[in-house]
Amino acid sequence: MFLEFDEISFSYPGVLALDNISFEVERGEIVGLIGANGAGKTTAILHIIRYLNPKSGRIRMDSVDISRIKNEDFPVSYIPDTPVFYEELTLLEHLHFIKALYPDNKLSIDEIIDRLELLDHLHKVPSALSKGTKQKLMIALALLRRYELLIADEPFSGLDPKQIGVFKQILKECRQEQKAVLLSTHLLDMVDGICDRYIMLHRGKLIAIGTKQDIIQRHALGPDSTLEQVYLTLVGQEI
Amino acid sequence: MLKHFWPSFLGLLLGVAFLGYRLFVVVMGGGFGIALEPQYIFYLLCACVLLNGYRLLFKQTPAIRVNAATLHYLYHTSYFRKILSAEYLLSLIKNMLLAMLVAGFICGFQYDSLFLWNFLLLSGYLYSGILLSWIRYHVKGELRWVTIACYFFSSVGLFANIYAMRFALIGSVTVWTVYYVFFKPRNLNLVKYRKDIAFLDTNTASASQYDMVKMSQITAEHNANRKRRFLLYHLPLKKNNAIFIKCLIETIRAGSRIWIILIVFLIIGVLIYRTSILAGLPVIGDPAVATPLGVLLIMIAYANIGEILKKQLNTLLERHRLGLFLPVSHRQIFSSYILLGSLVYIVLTIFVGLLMGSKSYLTLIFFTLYSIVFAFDVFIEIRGRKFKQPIQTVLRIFSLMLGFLFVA
Repeated sequence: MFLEFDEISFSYPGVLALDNISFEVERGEIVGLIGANGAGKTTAILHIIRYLNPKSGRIRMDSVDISRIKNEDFPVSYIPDTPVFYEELTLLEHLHFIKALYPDNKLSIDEIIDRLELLDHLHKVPSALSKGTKQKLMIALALLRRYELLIADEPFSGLDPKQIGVFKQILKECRQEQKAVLLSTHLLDMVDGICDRYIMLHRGKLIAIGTKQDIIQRHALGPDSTLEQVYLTLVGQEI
Repeated sequence: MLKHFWPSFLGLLLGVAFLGYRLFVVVMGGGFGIALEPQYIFYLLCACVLLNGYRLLFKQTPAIRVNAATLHYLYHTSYFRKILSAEYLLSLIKNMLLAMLVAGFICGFQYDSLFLWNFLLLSGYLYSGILLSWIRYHVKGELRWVTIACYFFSSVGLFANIYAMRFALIGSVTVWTVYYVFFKPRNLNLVKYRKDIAFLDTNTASASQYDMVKMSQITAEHNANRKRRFLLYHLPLKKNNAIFIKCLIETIRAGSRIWIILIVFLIIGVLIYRTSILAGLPVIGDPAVATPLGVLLIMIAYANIGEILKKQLNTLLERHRLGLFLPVSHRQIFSSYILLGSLVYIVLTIFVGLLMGSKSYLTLIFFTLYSIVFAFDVFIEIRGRKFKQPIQTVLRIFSLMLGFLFVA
């Protein structure tokens, strides 16, 4: 297993955000981390990117505890739900800066500009960009890194339908390149069909894990149920 | 503005009046008719050079301004040229008045031929600064370098000992700038000018309605969309220098205002310590107070530069934690900031050392020790948790003591 998220618990003051959660992510698969707002998806991700330290449990990558991996070797690229930038740098400068830090990534700046249609915004600073363009820049920066695991937290936010298609295609290419992808969203119809497995969270608890068919069979749901119907049935909120 | 901020304006006015009076009394040796001492003439000419340098190299707004509506409706009519000529004339008058004041100081307000020559030279020099700034604002490419060359030649002319040379250098630059501006009036970069004038007009309108929120918003948007001259990828970006270059770019873009404020701190510190301009004030005028106050002001400038760099470092590390990962060790990030800080401090220390007349070996010792203090401060900022606050307070006190060593 590439990523092992092992019995992690975490609380914010007065709120249990993760209650003994365990899951694994393998190379070459796209895993959907799904749940309603406040389910604990972002908290789980913040543990994987080492922003938060678990109160109990361990997180390992390739059997190494992530706290022991050096910055230089940390194999994670991350698209946060709230875009994070260097306010003083233009879009093109962001791309050059990250490219300089990861010179061995074969993806060129021109290629990524072309693919994500960033040409008209190259000389703008982040505060002058639209929400969708900020999101595209976050995706571009994530792809310019050297990574084994791509984590995307609500990546479809602000993207137009064409760009959503482009991003889904990029995720499939990651899978072909044997990279692991952890896709977190509450927009369940967006990820229905592109993920190999799903991790369903509700109020900090793991309510289901596996392929869509596995979950449907295990909980004796209708075979044609959508992901949204599956999730809402499991949390006891039928449409 | 006056309605809301009259106490500040009054304080400012009184302060300027007092400083002007003290400057007058000190440099004039107590009255009219006495020519200025050579070192003060040198300082005055340096101030003129700095003024033109600011106009040419740092000022982002156009040197000649017309109303946005005038530009929009009258640009293609003959009226526009007349209005522009009136603005040129107004600017000439302002610069002539300034030149008259400076020439008056130089010659002790004796209206003889020496005053006339100085007045003519300074008028030419200062007005050519405005016109060079105006030309540079509108042109691209080689001509921008020509304006810098002109500034250099006219500044050299200002300090030349031979009058003929002074006239030749300043005169030729003035004639060229006047020729260029008046006989090639259609070389305006209209897109840029229109945009800037519209911004300035909107900002002025917001100011007149006391709408500070709108003013801040307009300024933030304008700064965000401003074209940057010096870009990250113009430098040889590599994995091992990327952080340093980013830090350098960020420091350059911190805004000219903060640097101007810090330089003002330094200059006031130097004035208090090295001159008797403020000697008439009740407390500051006392030499026992003037020395520590001068040192304090200088060290405030040093400390604030450190704070700017530390704030940048904290932001970078926070972004790293939030997902903008940097595949480098903390040591490399730390070294980049220390290196940039040391470079800034060495330039600053040489500058202050020259102004204060400090001994070179003391300057060197101060720079070395202050760089160590800065490095330790940055280290505490990154690593220190428990005793960060008290250690940084001790470092402040120690750096103040170093300031005394340097200045003394």
